[in-house]
Amino acid sequence: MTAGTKTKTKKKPIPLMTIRYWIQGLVVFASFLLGLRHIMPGEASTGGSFDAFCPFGGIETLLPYLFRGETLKTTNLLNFAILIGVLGVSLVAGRAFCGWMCPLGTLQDYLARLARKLSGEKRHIRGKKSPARFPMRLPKRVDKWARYIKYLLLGGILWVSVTAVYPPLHAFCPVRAVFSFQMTGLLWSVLITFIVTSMLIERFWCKYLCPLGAALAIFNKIAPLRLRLNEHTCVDCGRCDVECPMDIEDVHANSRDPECIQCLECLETCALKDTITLEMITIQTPKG
Amino acid sequence: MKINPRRFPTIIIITFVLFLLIALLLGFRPMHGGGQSSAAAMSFMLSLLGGGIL
Repeated sequence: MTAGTKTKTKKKPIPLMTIRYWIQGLVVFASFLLGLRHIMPGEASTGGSFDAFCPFGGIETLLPYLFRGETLKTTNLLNFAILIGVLGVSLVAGRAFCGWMCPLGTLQDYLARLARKLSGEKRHIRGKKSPARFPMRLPKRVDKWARYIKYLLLGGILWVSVTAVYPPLHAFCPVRAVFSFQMTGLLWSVLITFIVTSMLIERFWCKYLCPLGAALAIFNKIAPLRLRLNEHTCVDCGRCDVECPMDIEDVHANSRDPECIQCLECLETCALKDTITLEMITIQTPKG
Repeated sequence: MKINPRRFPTIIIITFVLFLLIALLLGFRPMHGGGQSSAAAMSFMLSLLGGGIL
Protein backbone atom coordinates (compact mmCIF):
# COMPACT_ATOMS: atom_id res chain seq x y z
CA MET A 1 0.00 0.00 0.00
CA THR A 2 1.48 3.35 -0.99
CA ALA A 3 1.32 6.47 1.11
CA GLY A 4 -1.16 8.00 -1.32
CA THR A 5 -3.72 5.27 -0.90
CA LYS A 6 -3.58 5.41 2.87
CA THR A 7 -6.76 6.86 4.22
CA LYS A 8 -7.45 7.75 7.79
CA THR A 9 -10.61 6.06 8.98
CA LYS A 10 -12.45 8.37 11.30
CA LYS A 11 -14.31 6.64 14.09
CA LYS A 12 -18.02 7.31 13.90
CA PRO A 13 -19.21 8.82 17.19
CA ILE A 14 -21.83 6.95 19.20
CA PRO A 15 -25.26 8.42 18.39
CA LEU A 16 -26.64 10.62 21.15
CA MET A 17 -29.78 8.53 21.42
CA THR A 18 -27.70 5.38 21.96
CA ILE A 19 -26.08 7.13 24.92
CA ARG A 20 -29.55 8.04 26.17
CA TYR A 21 -30.78 4.46 25.89
CA TRP A 22 -27.71 3.26 27.79
CA ILE A 23 -28.24 5.75 30.62
CA GLN A 24 -31.93 4.85 30.78
CA GLY A 25 -31.08 1.14 30.78
CA LEU A 26 -28.62 1.60 33.64
CA VAL A 27 -31.24 3.47 35.70
CA VAL A 28 -33.78 0.69 35.13
CA PHE A 29 -31.18 -1.93 36.09
CA ALA A 30 -30.29 0.02 39.25
CA SER A 31 -33.98 0.29 40.15
CA PHE A 32 -34.41 -3.47 39.80
CA LEU A 33 -31.36 -3.98 42.02
CA LEU A 34 -32.85 -1.65 44.63
CA GLY A 35 -36.09 -3.62 44.53
CA LEU A 36 -34.21 -6.91 44.85
CA ARG A 37 -32.07 -5.57 47.68
CA HIS A 38 -35.13 -4.77 49.68
CA ILE A 39 -36.58 -8.26 49.52
CA MET A 40 -33.33 -9.93 50.55
CA PRO A 41 -33.50 -11.79 53.89
CA GLY A 42 -32.83 -9.48 56.81
CA GLU A 43 -33.00 -6.41 54.62
CA ALA A 44 -36.29 -5.25 56.09
CA SER A 45 -34.61 -4.71 59.45
CA THR A 46 -31.33 -3.24 58.22
CA GLY A 47 -32.07 -1.49 54.94
CA GLY A 48 -34.07 1.59 54.05
CA SER A 49 -37.44 1.12 52.41
CA PHE A 50 -37.74 1.03 48.61
CA ASP A 51 -39.80 4.23 48.81
CA ALA A 52 -36.85 6.05 50.38
CA PHE A 53 -35.14 6.24 46.98
CA CYS A 54 -38.05 7.94 45.21
CA PRO A 55 -37.71 11.67 44.42
CA PHE A 56 -41.48 12.05 44.50
CA GLY A 57 -41.43 10.66 48.03
CA GLY A 58 -39.58 13.88 48.91
CA ILE A 59 -42.51 15.93 47.62
CA GLU A 60 -45.05 13.72 49.38
CA THR A 61 -43.28 14.02 52.71
CA LEU A 62 -42.27 17.69 52.39
CA LEU A 63 -45.31 19.26 54.06
CA PRO A 64 -45.54 16.70 56.89
CA TYR A 65 -41.83 17.27 57.55
CA LEU A 66 -42.26 21.02 57.69
CA PHE A 67 -45.46 20.99 59.75
CA ARG A 68 -44.88 18.00 62.03
CA GLY A 69 -41.10 17.75 61.98
CA GLU A 70 -40.99 14.12 60.82
CA THR A 71 -41.24 12.25 57.56
CA LEU A 72 -44.09 9.98 56.52
CA LYS A 73 -43.74 6.25 57.12
CA THR A 74 -41.61 4.39 54.51
CA THR A 75 -39.93 7.67 53.53
CA ASN A 76 -36.92 9.30 55.13
CA LEU A 77 -34.42 12.12 54.59
CA LEU A 78 -32.86 10.31 51.63
CA ASN A 79 -36.01 11.18 49.66
CA PHE A 80 -35.13 14.86 50.06
CA ALA A 81 -31.54 14.25 48.95
CA ILE A 82 -32.68 12.52 45.76
CA LEU A 83 -35.36 15.17 45.19
CA ILE A 84 -32.70 17.88 45.51
CA GLY A 85 -30.59 16.02 42.91
CA VAL A 86 -33.57 15.93 40.54
CA LEU A 87 -34.36 19.59 41.20
CA GLY A 88 -30.74 20.43 40.41
CA VAL A 89 -31.03 18.73 37.02
CA SER A 90 -34.32 20.54 36.42
CA LEU A 91 -32.85 23.90 37.36
CA VAL A 92 -30.18 23.42 34.70
CA ALA A 93 -32.01 21.49 31.96
CA GLY A 94 -35.77 21.51 32.62
CA ARG A 95 -37.48 18.11 32.64
CA ALA A 96 -34.35 16.27 31.53
CA PHE A 97 -34.80 13.86 34.45
CA CYS A 98 -38.02 12.60 32.81
CA GLY A 99 -36.34 12.09 29.45
CA TRP A 100 -33.04 10.65 30.56
CA MET A 101 -33.15 9.30 34.12
CA CYS A 102 -36.67 8.25 35.07
CA PRO A 103 -36.98 4.44 35.20
CA LEU A 104 -40.72 4.60 34.64
CA GLY A 105 -40.31 6.83 31.58
CA THR A 106 -37.73 4.40 30.24
CA LEU A 107 -40.06 1.44 30.62
CA GLN A 108 -42.74 3.39 28.78
CA ASP A 109 -40.27 3.98 25.94
CA TYR A 110 -39.54 0.23 25.82
CA LEU A 111 -43.24 -0.64 25.85
CA ALA A 112 -44.01 1.88 23.09
CA ARG A 113 -41.25 0.33 20.97
CA LEU A 114 -42.65 -3.13 21.64
CA ALA A 115 -46.15 -1.95 20.69
CA ARG A 116 -44.81 -0.56 17.41
CA LYS A 117 -43.10 -3.86 16.62
CA LEU A 118 -46.20 -5.88 17.47
CA SER A 119 -48.52 -3.68 15.46
CA GLY A 120 -46.79 -3.66 12.12
CA GLU A 121 -43.53 -1.69 12.21
CA LYS A 122 -40.70 -3.70 10.67
CA ARG A 123 -37.93 -1.12 10.91
CA HIS A 124 -38.05 2.25 12.57
CA ILE A 125 -36.97 5.03 10.24
CA ARG A 126 -36.13 8.17 12.16
CA GLY A 127 -38.40 11.08 11.26
CA LYS A 128 -40.79 8.98 9.19
CA LYS A 129 -44.30 8.35 10.42
CA SER A 130 -44.58 4.77 11.62
CA PRO A 131 -47.06 2.46 9.85
CA ALA A 132 -47.73 0.81 13.23
CA ARG A 133 -51.19 1.12 14.67
CA PHE A 134 -49.95 1.49 18.24
CA PRO A 135 -49.06 3.53 20.21
CA MET A 136 -51.71 5.98 19.09
CA ARG A 137 -52.63 9.53 20.07
CA LEU A 138 -55.74 10.67 21.87
CA PRO A 139 -57.94 13.16 20.01
CA LYS A 140 -56.35 16.62 20.29
CA ARG A 141 -59.01 18.15 22.50
CA VAL A 142 -59.09 15.20 24.93
CA ASP A 143 -55.30 15.12 25.00
CA LYS A 144 -55.08 18.83 25.79
CA TRP A 145 -57.42 18.62 28.79
CA ALA A 146 -56.20 15.23 30.02
CA ARG A 147 -52.71 16.68 30.46
CA TYR A 148 -54.02 18.82 33.31
CA ILE A 149 -54.93 15.71 35.35
CA LYS A 150 -51.34 15.38 36.58
CA TYR A 151 -51.42 18.91 38.03
CA LEU A 152 -54.67 18.13 39.85
CA LEU A 153 -53.12 14.91 41.14
CA LEU A 154 -50.08 16.79 42.42
CA GLY A 155 -52.28 19.33 44.22
CA GLY A 156 -54.44 16.54 45.69
CA ILE A 157 -51.43 14.56 46.89
CA LEU A 158 -49.89 17.62 48.58
CA TRP A 159 -53.23 18.39 50.24
CA VAL A 160 -53.72 14.84 51.52
CA SER A 161 -50.08 14.46 52.59
CA VAL A 162 -50.46 17.02 55.41
CA THR A 163 -52.55 14.63 57.50
CA ALA A 164 -51.30 11.35 56.01
CA VAL A 165 -49.32 8.62 57.78
CA TYR A 166 -48.07 6.84 54.64
CA PRO A 167 -47.23 8.63 51.35
CA PRO A 168 -50.58 9.16 49.56
CA LEU A 169 -49.36 7.36 46.42
CA HIS A 170 -47.85 4.46 48.39
CA ALA A 171 -50.60 1.87 47.79
CA PHE A 172 -50.84 2.36 44.03
CA CYS A 173 -47.48 3.73 42.93
CA PRO A 174 -46.50 2.32 39.52
CA VAL A 175 -42.79 2.47 40.41
CA ARG A 176 -43.46 0.12 43.32
CA ALA A 177 -45.64 -2.01 41.07
CA VAL A 178 -42.78 -2.47 38.61
CA PHE A 179 -39.67 -2.53 40.79
CA SER A 180 -40.46 -3.31 44.41
CA PHE A 181 -41.23 -7.07 44.12
CA GLN A 182 -43.70 -6.72 46.99
CA MET A 183 -46.94 -7.05 45.15
CA THR A 184 -50.45 -6.57 46.42
CA GLY A 185 -53.68 -7.08 44.46
CA LEU A 186 -53.88 -3.33 43.88
CA LEU A 187 -50.26 -3.13 42.67
CA TRP A 188 -50.88 -5.99 40.21
CA SER A 189 -53.80 -4.08 38.71
CA VAL A 190 -51.66 -0.91 38.57
CA LEU A 191 -48.91 -2.87 36.81
CA ILE A 192 -51.28 -4.31 34.21
CA THR A 193 -52.89 -0.90 33.63
CA PHE A 194 -49.43 0.65 33.30
CA ILE A 195 -48.31 -1.89 30.68
CA VAL A 196 -51.51 -1.72 28.64
CA THR A 197 -51.81 2.09 28.64
CA SER A 198 -48.10 2.55 27.81
CA MET A 199 -48.53 0.29 24.78
CA LEU A 200 -51.68 2.04 23.66
CA ILE A 201 -50.42 5.59 24.16
CA GLU A 202 -46.75 6.56 24.22
CA ARG A 203 -45.61 7.90 27.62
CA PHE A 204 -49.20 7.75 28.91
CA TRP A 205 -48.13 8.11 32.55
CA CYS A 206 -45.81 11.07 31.81
CA LYS A 207 -48.40 12.92 29.74
CA TYR A 208 -51.46 12.53 31.91
CA LEU A 209 -50.73 11.21 35.39
CA CYS A 210 -47.18 11.77 36.64
CA PRO A 211 -47.26 14.22 39.56
CA LEU A 212 -43.46 14.49 39.60
CA GLY A 213 -43.52 15.55 35.95
CA ALA A 214 -46.15 18.14 36.89
CA ALA A 215 -43.89 19.49 39.63
CA LEU A 216 -40.90 19.70 37.27
CA ALA A 217 -42.82 21.25 34.35
CA ILE A 218 -42.27 24.82 35.55
CA PHE A 219 -38.50 24.37 35.21
CA ASN A 220 -38.84 24.19 31.41
CA LYS A 221 -39.66 27.89 31.51
CA ILE A 222 -36.66 28.92 33.59
CA ALA A 223 -33.89 26.42 32.84
CA PRO A 224 -30.93 28.06 31.08
CA LEU A 225 -30.05 24.98 29.00
CA ARG A 226 -32.65 24.71 26.27
CA LEU A 227 -33.35 23.86 22.67
CA ARG A 228 -33.43 26.67 20.16
CA LEU A 229 -34.79 26.71 16.63
CA ASN A 230 -33.24 28.58 13.77
CA GLU A 231 -36.33 29.87 11.96
CA HIS A 232 -34.31 30.85 8.90
CA THR A 233 -33.21 27.31 8.14
CA CYS A 234 -36.28 25.35 9.38
CA VAL A 235 -38.39 24.12 6.48
CA ASP A 236 -41.26 22.95 8.70
CA CYS A 237 -40.93 19.36 7.49
CA GLY A 238 -42.43 17.95 10.69
CA ARG A 239 -39.82 15.23 11.19
CA CYS A 240 -39.26 16.40 14.78
CA ASP A 241 -43.01 16.21 15.51
CA VAL A 242 -43.05 12.55 14.43
CA GLU A 243 -40.30 11.52 16.87
CA CYS A 244 -41.49 13.51 19.92
CA PRO A 245 -42.48 10.92 22.57
CA MET A 246 -44.60 13.52 24.37
CA ASP A 247 -46.51 14.36 21.16
CA ILE A 248 -45.91 18.07 21.50
CA GLU A 249 -47.54 19.92 18.66
CA ASP A 250 -45.11 21.89 16.48
CA VAL A 251 -42.04 20.84 18.44
CA HIS A 252 -39.89 23.35 16.58
CA ALA A 253 -42.03 26.25 17.83
CA ASN A 254 -42.56 24.96 21.37
CA SER A 255 -39.15 24.10 22.72
CA ARG A 256 -40.08 25.57 26.12
CA ASP A 257 -43.34 23.68 26.35
CA PRO A 258 -43.92 22.40 29.92
CA GLU A 259 -44.51 18.96 28.42
CA CYS A 260 -41.03 18.78 26.86
CA ILE A 261 -38.85 16.15 28.56
CA GLN A 262 -35.60 17.33 26.91
CA CYS A 263 -34.99 13.91 25.39
CA LEU A 264 -33.36 15.61 22.36
CA GLU A 265 -35.09 13.23 19.93
CA CYS A 266 -36.08 16.29 17.85
CA LEU A 267 -32.51 17.55 17.73
CA GLU A 268 -31.25 14.13 16.70
CA THR A 269 -33.98 13.76 14.06
CA CYS A 270 -33.58 17.15 12.39
CA ALA A 271 -31.78 16.66 9.09
CA LEU A 272 -30.80 20.30 8.65
CA LYS A 273 -27.53 21.38 10.19
CA ASP A 274 -27.76 23.90 13.04
CA THR A 275 -31.54 24.18 12.81
CA ILE A 276 -32.32 22.79 16.25
CA THR A 277 -29.46 23.51 18.63
CA LEU A 278 -28.79 23.21 22.33
CA GLU A 279 -28.03 26.53 23.94
CA MET A 280 -27.16 27.88 27.34
CA ILE A 281 -28.84 31.18 28.04
CA THR A 282 -26.38 33.49 29.71
CA ILE A 283 -26.98 36.78 31.40
CA GLN A 284 -25.42 39.46 29.24
CA THR A 285 -24.00 42.45 31.01
CA PRO A 286 -23.90 45.76 29.14
CA LYS A 287 -20.45 46.65 27.85
CA GLY A 288 -18.57 49.71 28.97
CA MET B 1 -23.92 30.08 23.98
CA LYS B 2 -24.12 26.92 21.90
CA ILE B 3 -23.54 23.63 23.70
CA ASN B 4 -22.49 20.43 22.01
CA PRO B 5 -25.50 18.09 22.47
CA ARG B 6 -23.12 15.21 23.13
CA ARG B 7 -22.15 16.96 26.37
CA PHE B 8 -25.77 17.05 27.54
CA PRO B 9 -25.74 13.64 29.31
CA THR B 10 -22.52 14.53 31.12
CA ILE B 11 -23.96 17.88 32.22
CA ILE B 12 -27.13 16.39 33.69
CA ILE B 13 -25.38 13.48 35.40
CA ILE B 14 -22.75 15.74 36.97
CA THR B 15 -25.47 18.17 38.09
CA PHE B 16 -27.49 15.35 39.64
CA VAL B 17 -24.51 13.93 41.51
CA LEU B 18 -23.37 17.38 42.66
CA PHE B 19 -26.77 18.35 44.07
CA LEU B 20 -27.20 14.91 45.63
CA LEU B 21 -23.84 15.25 47.40
CA ILE B 22 -24.71 18.76 48.59
CA ALA B 23 -28.00 17.45 49.97
CA LEU B 24 -26.25 14.57 51.75
CA LEU B 25 -23.71 16.98 53.22
CA LEU B 26 -26.53 19.24 54.41
CA GLY B 27 -27.85 16.41 56.55
CA PHE B 28 -30.36 14.71 54.26
CA ARG B 29 -28.71 11.36 54.91
CA PRO B 30 -30.11 7.88 54.44
CA MET B 31 -31.91 6.74 57.57
CA HIS B 32 -33.72 3.49 58.11
CA GLY B 33 -37.45 3.27 58.56
CA GLY B 34 -39.71 6.29 58.57
CA GLY B 35 -40.90 9.10 60.76
CA GLN B 36 -37.43 10.50 61.34
CA SER B 37 -36.00 13.94 61.58
CA SER B 38 -32.63 15.64 61.44
CA ALA B 39 -31.96 18.90 63.21
CA ALA B 40 -29.51 20.06 60.51
CA ALA B 41 -31.88 19.22 57.65
CA MET B 42 -34.82 20.79 59.43
CA SER B 43 -32.95 24.04 60.13
CA PHE B 44 -31.89 24.12 56.47
CA MET B 45 -35.51 23.69 55.33
CA LEU B 46 -36.70 26.39 57.69
CA SER B 47 -33.97 28.77 56.58
CA LEU B 48 -35.09 28.19 52.97
CA LEU B 49 -38.64 29.01 54.02
CA GLY B 50 -37.45 32.08 55.87
CA GLY B 51 -35.53 33.21 52.82
CA GLY B 52 -38.60 32.77 50.67
CA ILE B 53 -37.01 30.20 48.37
CA LEU B 54 -39.50 27.40 49.07
